[in-house]
Amino acid sequence: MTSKKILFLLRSPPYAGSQAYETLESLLVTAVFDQEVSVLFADDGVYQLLKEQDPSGIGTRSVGAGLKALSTYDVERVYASTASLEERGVPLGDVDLAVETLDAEQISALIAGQDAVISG
Amino acid sequence: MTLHVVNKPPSNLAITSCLAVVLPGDVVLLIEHGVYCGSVSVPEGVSMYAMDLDVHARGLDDRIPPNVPLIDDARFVELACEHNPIVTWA
Repeated sequence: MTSKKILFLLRSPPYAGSQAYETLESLLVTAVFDQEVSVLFADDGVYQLLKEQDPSGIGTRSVGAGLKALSTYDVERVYASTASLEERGVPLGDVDLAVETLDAEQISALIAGQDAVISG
Repeated sequence: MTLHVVNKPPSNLAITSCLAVVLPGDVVLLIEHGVYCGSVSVPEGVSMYAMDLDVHARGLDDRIPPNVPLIDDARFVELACEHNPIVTWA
């Protein structure tokens, strides 16, 4: 099977329904099929990167804990929008995940280089 | 060149984040509630279109500026075929 470059553009906050978690699951499935997966957290999607998530009280699974699976699935191209992080005061290094920050110009180049972009 | 599809109103950051990263030659297509973004200014070299049925449905015909052509489903399909990747700012 030919490998394709697929970017997951994550703009949803965690726990807004099940969107963030379901997108994460589809991302991991894509990675299993040996595609060149990259992930970009932008806008409210950067809230997924906050460390102390404990949604047990609202009866749902932890998106933050799910993100730890990324490295297990060999998803190593993990990016976050510098502007989105700064606007929301979300620090990096908060999660157990190697995240590279990208400015607008770098995000443009990232998108332009993809075979497909999936939003979630 | 990328086709950017926006289906959210300006209160969502979709159009803002999209326009922050568009490149010359890219196309922005407004569909559904995205047609409320018709009066935003677009960077030079970027074309913007709006779906005619969504514009008519919301009574926005007189509010979409002339530099934002209205298109139908067939043209949407053409744009999808002509561009890669396609980013839906959902």
